[in-house]
Amino acid sequence: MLDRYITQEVADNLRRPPGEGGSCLPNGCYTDPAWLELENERLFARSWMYAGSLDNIPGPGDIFPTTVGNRPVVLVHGHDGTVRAFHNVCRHRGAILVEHPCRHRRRMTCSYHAWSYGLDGALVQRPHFDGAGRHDRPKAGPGLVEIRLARFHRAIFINLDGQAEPFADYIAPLARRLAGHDLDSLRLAKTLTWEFRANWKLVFENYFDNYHVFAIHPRLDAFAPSEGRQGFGWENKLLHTEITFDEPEPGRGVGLPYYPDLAPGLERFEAGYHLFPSCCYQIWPDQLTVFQVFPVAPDHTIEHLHVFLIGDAARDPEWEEARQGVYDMWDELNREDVNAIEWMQKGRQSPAFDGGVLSACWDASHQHFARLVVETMT
Amino acid sequence: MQDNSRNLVSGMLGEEALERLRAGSALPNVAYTSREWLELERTRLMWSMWMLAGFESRIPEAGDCLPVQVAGCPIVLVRGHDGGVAAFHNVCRHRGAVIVTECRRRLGALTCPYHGWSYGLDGGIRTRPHFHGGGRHDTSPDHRASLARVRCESWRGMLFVNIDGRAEPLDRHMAPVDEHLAGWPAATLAWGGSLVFDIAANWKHVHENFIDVYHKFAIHPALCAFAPLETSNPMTFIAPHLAMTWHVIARPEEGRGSGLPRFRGLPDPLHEEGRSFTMIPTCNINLWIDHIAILVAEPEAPGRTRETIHFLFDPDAMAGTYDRVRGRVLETWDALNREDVAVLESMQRGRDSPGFDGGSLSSFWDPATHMFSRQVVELMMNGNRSAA
Repeated sequence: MLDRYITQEVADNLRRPPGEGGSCLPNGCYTDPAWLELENERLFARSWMYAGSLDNIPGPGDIFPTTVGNRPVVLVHGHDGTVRAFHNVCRHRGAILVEHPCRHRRRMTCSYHAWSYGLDGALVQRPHFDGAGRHDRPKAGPGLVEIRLARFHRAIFINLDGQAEPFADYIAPLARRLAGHDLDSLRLAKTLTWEFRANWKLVFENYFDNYHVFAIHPRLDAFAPSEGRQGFGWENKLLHTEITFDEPEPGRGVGLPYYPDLAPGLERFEAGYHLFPSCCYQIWPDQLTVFQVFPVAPDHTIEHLHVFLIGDAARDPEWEEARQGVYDMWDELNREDVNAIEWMQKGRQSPAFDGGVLSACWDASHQHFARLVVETMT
Repeated sequence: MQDNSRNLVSGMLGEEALERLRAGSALPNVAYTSREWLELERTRLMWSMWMLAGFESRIPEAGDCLPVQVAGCPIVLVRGHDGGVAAFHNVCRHRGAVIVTECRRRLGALTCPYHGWSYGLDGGIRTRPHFHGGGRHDTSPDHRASLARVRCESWRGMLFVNIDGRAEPLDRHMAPVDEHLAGWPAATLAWGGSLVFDIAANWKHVHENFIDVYHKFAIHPALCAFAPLETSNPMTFIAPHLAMTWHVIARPEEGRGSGLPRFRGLPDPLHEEGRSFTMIPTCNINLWIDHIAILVAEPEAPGRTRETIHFLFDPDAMAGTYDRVRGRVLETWDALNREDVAVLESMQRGRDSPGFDGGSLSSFWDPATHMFSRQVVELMMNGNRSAA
């Protein structure tokens, strides 16, 4: 089924070095609804996917519906203290079980026929199931279908098909690189949202493209000039860029508390990581942002940027102005990217584009990403 | 390729629909609703034909650039230093971003806004800043990194592109129109603006409506008062890819033949006639004594079309004293076209009905509509046989 898109020539070009004809994915992978459905089945379902944070369900009884690819899922903080994920569909008629985030619940009740489930997923009650007034309280009825879940500090990752590699292996390259940052000290301050008329992969590909900074992001380029940059490197499913900067500026390390007990040298350390294939982690001495994408259609993507700050800095009025500086910085940066990302989507309608003539210095990461897509889906 | 096309086309339409098509019906619903079918139309039909892309008068000087979308492809028309116009696929060879995003004048180079790759007006790669790392630029002439050229030819000041590069020469393609237009002065005309409509209907509904003279008594009261159905004629095909109709202009009025300088050197019959030509697949040219309106139906999705109406005038009519009357021309077409939108969109909704099967056509008015359906299928199955 992949052969229609990933011909032998495409597969070969994904392995060739950029200077020797190496190239990226063909246009159909960015424009065809059938390919996006294949990604839902074979890429997102088989991978560890960022689904939310403990901040979305801070206490027992808190419930947070979301999607992975186009699959509805729900994260639940149980009264036993355990965090679980379920497919967010009622076992009866397949209606979405939980529509909106909610707190302090004991049950999840379907709006359609009022089947209710415990926070552990067990079916609790089916009103009128055996006729009007004849309720069913099943001992072992069909409960919600649970999804494999793992935590990285406060972040929640899930794997729909249950067959992905051990989470410890998946997360190890990132965990090692962030060992000096106390990620448990973080709290969610705000989620920013943008919308792109472009494929989700282009949104990520633009993220791990350090090359365009000089042309599109004047403020970032002045802060950290292209001359000192390199392309993204990678370690298995982690794509990474790390730099040391000279002076912090508003939105980037000024006016907000730094991580407690920050390891020496890290107060001038900035890094961007793509955790294939669902999210990116940006680390600064005073913040973590997690950038998550939701594919709506081949040419339509919604991006969330979750801004996490240290402890009280996430909420306390004292830090309001500095927080706004962080939001403004990220908003400006993303708005600068919207056009470029949408230009790439339009270009993928052209028969003259064939995966691109790449720079060996900057673009090898695009090929690595493309290879991961194909390898996961094969 | 042709056998493959034949199988794909007959597979999607079904033998029964092809039989109905041969017997006088129009295309079945799937040809108006399916994304796969539209993809076949783009690649097999539209890329093989001459498609209107722009006008010489919009890019008069070296370095003038006009980005357009033709059959889904981003293309840029560029006036070169040699005075000629070249067309290129408007996508950077690096990451596939669109390079020229708006009409620009007198550029020295085409520069991609994403990573600053710049190309000469001949499409050749010039510079790739920071290509080998920060501060390490590349200026080598790497042909793999140059823009891909699209075949482009000019007919009477109109610029057409042929994306697969295999169609017959444009002059030969348009010769049947020339036969009906001796003395027509389009090469010197000025582009006087355009109107754009976003229509929730398949591009063929828009094009078939260009062909359809029949509906005007029901939908276009003002036009019908001006040029009654009784003095109008059905479209007739004058070549496999071209159909024509004409109507008598009895009393010219502002917006329709009066108040602007008339075209110089028009042959006598055209002083009393309006003529329209529809070109398969997406273009319709309307000739009046003082303006030309060119309608193009660009498909965006099976049920979505971007229709553009371009206006050409005599250069004398571009003087400020004629602004108001030129405005009347645009208003007249705008009103006329708005009258069509509801029926176009209702035909599209009708194509979701299993109760519609291609229709019962009028043997007086609709032979051209039927011919259009047959030609679309013929060209998709067997290719553009006029190809050199």
